[in-house]
Amino acid sequence: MTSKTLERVLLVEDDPDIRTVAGLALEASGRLTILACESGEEAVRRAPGFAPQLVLLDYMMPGMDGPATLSALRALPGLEKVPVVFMTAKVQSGETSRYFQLGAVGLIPKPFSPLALEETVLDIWRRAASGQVVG
Amino acid sequence: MPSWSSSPRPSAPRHALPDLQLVLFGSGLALLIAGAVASFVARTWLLEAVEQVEQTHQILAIVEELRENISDAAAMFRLGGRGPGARPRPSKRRALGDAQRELDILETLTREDASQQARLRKIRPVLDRMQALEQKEAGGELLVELLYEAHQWLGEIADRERRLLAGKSAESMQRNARLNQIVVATGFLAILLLAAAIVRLRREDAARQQAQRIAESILETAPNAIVSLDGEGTILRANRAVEKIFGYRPEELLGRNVTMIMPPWSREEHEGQLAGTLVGESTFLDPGMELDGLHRDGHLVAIHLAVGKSSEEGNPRFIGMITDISDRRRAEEVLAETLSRLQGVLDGATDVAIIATDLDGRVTLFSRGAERMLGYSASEVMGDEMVVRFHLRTEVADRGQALSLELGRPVQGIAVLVEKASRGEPDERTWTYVHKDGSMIPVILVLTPLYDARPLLCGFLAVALDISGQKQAERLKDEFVSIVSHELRTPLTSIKASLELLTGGLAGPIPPKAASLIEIAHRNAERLILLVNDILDIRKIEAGEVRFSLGAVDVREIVAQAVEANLAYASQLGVRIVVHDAGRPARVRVDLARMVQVLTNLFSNAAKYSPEGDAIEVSTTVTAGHVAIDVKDHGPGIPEEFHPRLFQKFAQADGTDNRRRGGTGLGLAIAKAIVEKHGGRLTFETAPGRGTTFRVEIPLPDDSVGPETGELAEAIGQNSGPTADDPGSGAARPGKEGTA
Repeated sequence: MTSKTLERVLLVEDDPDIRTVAGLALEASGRLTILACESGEEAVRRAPGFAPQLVLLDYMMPGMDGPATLSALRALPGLEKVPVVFMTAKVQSGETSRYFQLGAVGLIPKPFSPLALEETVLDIWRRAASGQVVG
Repeated sequence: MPSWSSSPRPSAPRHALPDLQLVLFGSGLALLIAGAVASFVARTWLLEAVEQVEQTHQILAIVEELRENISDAAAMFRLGGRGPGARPRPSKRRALGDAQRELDILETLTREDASQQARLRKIRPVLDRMQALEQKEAGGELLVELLYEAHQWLGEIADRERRLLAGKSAESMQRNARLNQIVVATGFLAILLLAAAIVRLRREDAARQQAQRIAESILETAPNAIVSLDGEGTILRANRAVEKIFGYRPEELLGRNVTMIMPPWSREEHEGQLAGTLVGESTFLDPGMELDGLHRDGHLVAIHLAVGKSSEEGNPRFIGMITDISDRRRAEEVLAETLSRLQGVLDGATDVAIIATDLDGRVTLFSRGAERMLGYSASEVMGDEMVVRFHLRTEVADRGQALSLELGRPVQGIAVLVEKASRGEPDERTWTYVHKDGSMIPVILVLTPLYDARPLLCGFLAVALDISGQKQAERLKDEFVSIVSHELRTPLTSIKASLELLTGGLAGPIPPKAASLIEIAHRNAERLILLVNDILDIRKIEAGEVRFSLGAVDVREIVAQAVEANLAYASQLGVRIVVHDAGRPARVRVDLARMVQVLTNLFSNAAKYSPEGDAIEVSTTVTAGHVAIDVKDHGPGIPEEFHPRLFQKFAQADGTDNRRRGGTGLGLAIAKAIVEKHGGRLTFETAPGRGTTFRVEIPLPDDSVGPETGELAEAIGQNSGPTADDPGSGAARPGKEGTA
């Protein structure tokens, strides 16, 4: 896992408002560059050109859902080990561990606090860098 | 009135003498006969003795005559043909001839006495010599000598006879006396024996009469009518009970034919049966039968008739025992009607399966509804089939395992289903039935114990309602709630986040008026999010979808975390939280986060209703088997009319409370659901104006209470950390507002 400063985050979210708000929140400090995609397909298509250091991935999406997108991204050259954080409101009992089994390094429940979002993401990044996962 | 009435009254039958009487009678008679024989023998002996005495007297007389004839003959010799004295004397020859004849007679009479015969033989030569003297010399010394010799011998003979006479008389008197004693003794003994036999017979007779009187009084007081008939059916006797059953007095029935107490249609049949019995073709009504009798006033009486056959002095007799079974018949009719109605219910209730079993679980009743629901016909499953067969096997096994754990003994088979019902309690539970074709049917099964007449538990009644439709509706509702909540949460997330970004100054400075409006929008967005979360939360708890992460937790830890999470909120409302520590650890097996959620709901509720500046009091008590956490406020109390709805969803005493005090109206419902899922209870005590105390009771596992000081060994297990619940649904919301 890289110990570099987090700069490029790929945000995949089908809801345009949340995508906008999350994007704004993450970019507010100017430290992060965000590539916001509205679907898994778009993310897979554009990720190689962006080379994200971390992916924020909505779990429930039409078409390719979160897990499918994760798999597809990981299949891309250079992204085999990219840390993925699921954002979801629909977490069922017993599913938390499944997210981590799928390869996620963190979980951000919706609704999230936009003002704290950047810090949360950075925290997950730091923990992932030291080999921890964040629930 | 002795009314085992009869015509004509027969003499009491003489029974054969019992053995003892027979012996007494026999001995008495034998002794009498022996006495008679003895007296006969005595008489014979007496006669014999008399005869012998007479014979002796005769011998003595003849001896005397012989002596005279010899003397006469001697005198003739001396006087020449004429003797002295007035008496004319025969010739000496004639006198000697007479003497010879008398000697012959004496020889005959004494033939059995050898000594007398010997003496007589001495006399005969004397006579012969006297005869000879007649021719040669008469008188003289020889004659005197012969005469002396003859008299000497005759004297000896006479002496002997007299001695014999004396001896015989003495013997006969002795025998006579002895025989008399024997006769008197046997007679006395015979009389004694006969008297004893008679006394005994009399006693027997008295006992027999007593027995007969008892038998008659039994017959008279018997609740059953008893009639005695002859071979033609004529009533010979009847007891008093006939009047109660047939309305006739017993004496009115005597001599009448029994058909008078039968309805016309059964008379012919009865006569046929009677005739058949007489010739031995049938045993007639044995062991009895139920039929109709005819009362005097014309109404029919349901009776049971048992008939016994006997004979009296060679004539056939029938004894009829008649019982009035009208009451039983009526009860049977009522029962039949009830059963018919019940059958109607069973047949008509086609939407539910009704199955009865015995104690072992064998099917004893299988309603049409059960046939329809399960696909089996009643004839297929009645008797041998076990009711467990209709259940989903894994479900029964799981429940059996849970029950075994709970009760500490193995529970399996039918016991799994009827564990509660067999304790006499009705049991309602959802189960899964398996149709004959293998398909599954969710049912609500109500199990009720069945009792027999004693009343002992004799089986179980299962009424199953197919809840497939209900389940489907619930699933659709859940899906709907879930989708709607999710769809609500997504836009709410955007709204809340956008407002936060605005207030955070991301879009530049906000004018104060706009800022306060944004604050209102933000607060309400948060309320909506809480509401959606609570709706999702309670749905999942109720549906059993929440998996609790159970661990051994000190109850003080639960309180501490809940207090910490709610301090900020309480202080916003100007309310303090005061904890009265239990003083010793008590570990309960709970999901820590969920229990903190429970207390959070109770604290926020208490804070909202507490007067400003007041305190919420939290105390913990450990009692046998339970730990209780009390949350007390000093608010207005809960109006009584609201008590029943307190734990219902969206229930608030004042409809305006929601808006005024905040909260979703789900907090108490969620708290109660969580506590109950832990096997505990959530209760409350309240008084108007004196505040409210909510009490959370949680069962204590064994050995979970620690000593007054010191730490409890970690015996139960560790709290397993973060739960698997929806992080967004408020499993624990430190620092967030309560939701009650």
